[in-house]
Amino acid sequence: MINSIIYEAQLIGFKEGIKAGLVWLVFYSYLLSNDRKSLAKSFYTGISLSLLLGLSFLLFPESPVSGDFIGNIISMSFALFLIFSGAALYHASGVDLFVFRDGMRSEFVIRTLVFSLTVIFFLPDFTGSAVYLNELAELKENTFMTAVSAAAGIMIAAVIIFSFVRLYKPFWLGSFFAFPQLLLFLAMVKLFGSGIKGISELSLIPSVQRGFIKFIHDLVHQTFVMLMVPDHPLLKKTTWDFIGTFFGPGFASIASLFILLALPALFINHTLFRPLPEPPARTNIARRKTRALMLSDRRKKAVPVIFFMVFIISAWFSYGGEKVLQVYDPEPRPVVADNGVIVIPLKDPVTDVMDGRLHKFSFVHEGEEVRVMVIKKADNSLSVCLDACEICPPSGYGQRDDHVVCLYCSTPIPVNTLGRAGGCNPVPLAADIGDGFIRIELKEIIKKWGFVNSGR
Amino acid sequence: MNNIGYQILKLPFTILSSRAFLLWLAGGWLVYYVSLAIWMDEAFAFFVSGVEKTSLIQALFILFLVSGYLNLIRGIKVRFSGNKIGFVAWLMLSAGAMLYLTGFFLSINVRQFDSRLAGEGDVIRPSWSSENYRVVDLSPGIKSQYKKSGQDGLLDHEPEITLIDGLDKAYRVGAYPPVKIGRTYFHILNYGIAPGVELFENGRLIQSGYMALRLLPPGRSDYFDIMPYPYRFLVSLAPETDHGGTAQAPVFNLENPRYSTRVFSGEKVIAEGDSGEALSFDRFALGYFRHTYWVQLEAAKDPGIPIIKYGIFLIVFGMPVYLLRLVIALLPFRN
Amino acid sequence: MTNNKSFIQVRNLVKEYKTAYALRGVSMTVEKGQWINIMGPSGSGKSTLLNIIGGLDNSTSGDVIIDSTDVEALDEDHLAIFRREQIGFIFQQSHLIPYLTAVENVMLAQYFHSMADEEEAGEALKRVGLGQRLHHRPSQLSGGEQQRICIARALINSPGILLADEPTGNLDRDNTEIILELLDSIHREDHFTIVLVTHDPFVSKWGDRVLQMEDGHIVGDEFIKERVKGA
Ligand SMILES: Nc1ncnc2c1ncn2[C@@H]1O[C@H](COP(=O)(O)OP(=O)(O)OP(=O)(O)O)[C@@H](O)[C@H]1O
Ligand SMILES: [Mg+2]
Repeated sequence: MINSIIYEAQLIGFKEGIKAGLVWLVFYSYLLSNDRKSLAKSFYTGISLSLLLGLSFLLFPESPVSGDFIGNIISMSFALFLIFSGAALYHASGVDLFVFRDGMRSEFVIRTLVFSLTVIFFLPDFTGSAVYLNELAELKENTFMTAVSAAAGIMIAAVIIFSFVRLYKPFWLGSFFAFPQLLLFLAMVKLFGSGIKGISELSLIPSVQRGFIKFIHDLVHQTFVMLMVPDHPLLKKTTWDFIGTFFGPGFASIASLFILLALPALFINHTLFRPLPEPPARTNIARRKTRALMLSDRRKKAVPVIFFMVFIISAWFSYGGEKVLQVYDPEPRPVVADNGVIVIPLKDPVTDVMDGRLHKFSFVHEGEEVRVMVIKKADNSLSVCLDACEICPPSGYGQRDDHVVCLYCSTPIPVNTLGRAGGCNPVPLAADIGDGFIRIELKEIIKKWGFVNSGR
Repeated sequence: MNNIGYQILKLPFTILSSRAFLLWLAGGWLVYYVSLAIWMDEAFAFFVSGVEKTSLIQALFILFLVSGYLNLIRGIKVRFSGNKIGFVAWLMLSAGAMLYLTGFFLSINVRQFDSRLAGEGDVIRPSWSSENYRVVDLSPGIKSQYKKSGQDGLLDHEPEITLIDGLDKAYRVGAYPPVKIGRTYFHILNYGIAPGVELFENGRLIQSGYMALRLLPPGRSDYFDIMPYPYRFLVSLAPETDHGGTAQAPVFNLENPRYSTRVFSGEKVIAEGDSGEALSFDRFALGYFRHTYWVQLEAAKDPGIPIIKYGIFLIVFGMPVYLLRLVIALLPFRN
Repeated sequence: MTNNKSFIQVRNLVKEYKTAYALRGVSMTVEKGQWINIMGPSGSGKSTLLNIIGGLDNSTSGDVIIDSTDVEALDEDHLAIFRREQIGFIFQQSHLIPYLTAVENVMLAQYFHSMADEEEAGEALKRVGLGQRLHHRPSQLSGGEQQRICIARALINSPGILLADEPTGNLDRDNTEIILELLDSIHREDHFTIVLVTHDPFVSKWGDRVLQMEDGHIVGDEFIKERVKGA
């Protein structure tokens, strides 16, 4: 147990170190190939400040901000880099978006920009990791050892990056990066390495995917409502199955890939397939030479973008298939009514309903299985609902991270909103929770089960 | 007309119709939505309610639409002389997107809708309409027999009704697509059985009528009250075989359904029974007669619906043309 | 030495093989735009000198300075760049790629320099009188025609120097004359420098100057006053 914590702390330190090292390598090469080496100073200032501020969180065992808050900040900074790199790629594909370019040329502005981007990039990640390390330290009850293991992880990463650079001098990397590619690279590093949930979620991909899937689903749902597509019990099963595919995670996943890849694809289309602009040149040979240079530059600058596309596609399917799209659907545990009351223990040797996972309980009433589900919300309160809603046939719900998902129509519902009645929400039950048990009146369950159990 | 004055007049149009402006606006929306999605659980619902209620969001949305259409017009002028397939694909996609967004905005802001239960013979009139419609025929499409364990559902076919307007013109209305009558769209949202119910006092019929209840699929129960009497009647369908709760796969006759009824007075059950015999309690008795069906009809007046539909149509057909164009553009690729 | 005028400077060039010396201290200068012929008996070191000037071979000692660049001091990459920008080669054997057409052979040289341009390659072939043979393969062309493709190929990237090692060695008198006339007329228009190796006195009637070599030494250096006019 203790060893695994040390190992995890080390891994987190290693991850942050590798991230910082890679970003430094690419940024420094970029500066070298653009003859702007002097800007490295702003970068070093930014990263040192972020490291100091981030590490200072290790001094507060009770972090002043929650991990969720920092997670949101990280997501924001990822979104910022992604959106800006998209805009910059679009700009590079021939549409002039940057209105303030003259102002951007001032040295002071550029330095400030590099400094702030560095801080925006690193501070949330360092802070998030520090807060997570605090949690680990609390488990292990040894802050010092945890901090030392993390530092060791950072050192290992530093040594690896340092020797790699000494051995291979890979500064030619710079020729592959222009400003948009640099932003895209930063977004990519964030996406693949900014998770702060320890080993279980080292990257942001699952949460980004969930966000996309929810958006697509809501958009489809809104469109169907506007087009007056009825709730499905009315439609033939085949029709509903067809409509259901647009609600499903498969469609949402593909559609979100489409959104993510649109601008990179546009850029690639532009770089590789549009005719080159005619260079001003006196002789045919000089013209040919300039064109060849332009062409090879274009191709080089396409490489990071193609890398991004390949990475995203493979990550989307490998990650998405297993972790994100999979829905956890526990077997219901049988319970019996005692004096007209269903009693569920909060904790017994087999289950702990406060563990954040979805729990289901069932009993048989008049030949029919009735299911109740229980799950802990973020505020540590318990939500007790029927495992059914008013609309769908009683297929019930499964859990996908912080959502429950209707197993019939794939509607995701945030766990924190459970307790609302109506629509696709699970029907809330009045329950008495106290001294280690959940008590629900059998009458309450039967009455509400009767209302929800609509069918095809 | 002096030239500078004309230039100043033209300026807002130049800005609005510039691609950079449109893209900056789109980027703004993106950042706004992404922030919502990161910080709250139901970002889309919040966004929609913003479009419905917040004037700043509405103003920005309209600005975006205007800029989008101006860009569309400018784009048509610029691109018309170019590659024809490319032009068509671009036009379909951008016009489709603009129509969709316009319809979205209209539908959220100006849709009027109404929904009510109706049975055969009922007259309905949406609140915004001056026309009365009568339900003359109701075909619920329900199977005559339903086996609980069956996978194939309750319906033989999707439910359908016939409405006639004041000029005796008839319209068939089903679940989907909604049928446009005048400026109103109608469709069926839900359906069910409405048992005929009679209440006797001391052997004398005092009330009778149809009760639209949600008893489907069998197993589900619903209740009704009969004013002004202090009783509540909880009803569910009873299976054919009389094994009570123990039958593994009970079979229900939906042609001639039987009801099991519990009569509540307050929290207490004072009578219980099957619809075979009359159910007596205090000085009253409850009986059933042949059921009819009800549908829940939804009506909406919404100029956004056809716009959204055409928008989606253009996008769905424009996309393959666009991709095809890319493939064609790549084919003669050299160098 | 007149540094500003001497385009190619060779100083004390020695090339030693295990068994023998090929060059025993050769010094010479060539002015920009000059056409110089190197003559001498077989084994006198003509090809060795030419190859070292063109950066195809290394000397044992001595310097080769072309347009103020010390060719032998260049590293691999820069030598490659220097060669493709500055030097065109013609050999006795045509070294054309047999499965490519005439125009494709020329485009290949463009491609290694920067990028292919079919139109320009076609123009270059028209200039050497092969406008009707663009899409023929080398095997479908005569030796003289093949050597004309080589001229077009060597000159396609406007090099400063054309190095030619027995370009007419495999040709009969008539074809030799055609080739040299062609080279002469192009040289008059474009003013590049030519270093041509031959043992055929007939060939040395073209050009501005003749160097005589013998056993790794330069033994004669003579300017031709009257240039031969085309027949
Ligand atoms: N790779 C080699 N190894 C050993 N000796 C060589 C090598 N290449 C050339 N030589 C020798 O160097 C001398 C000069 O050769 P080079 O090819 O320069 O003569 P050349 O003047 O071009 O003769 P030719 O007119 O026959 O082409 C010759 O004696 C030759 O045998
Ligand atoms: Mg020789």
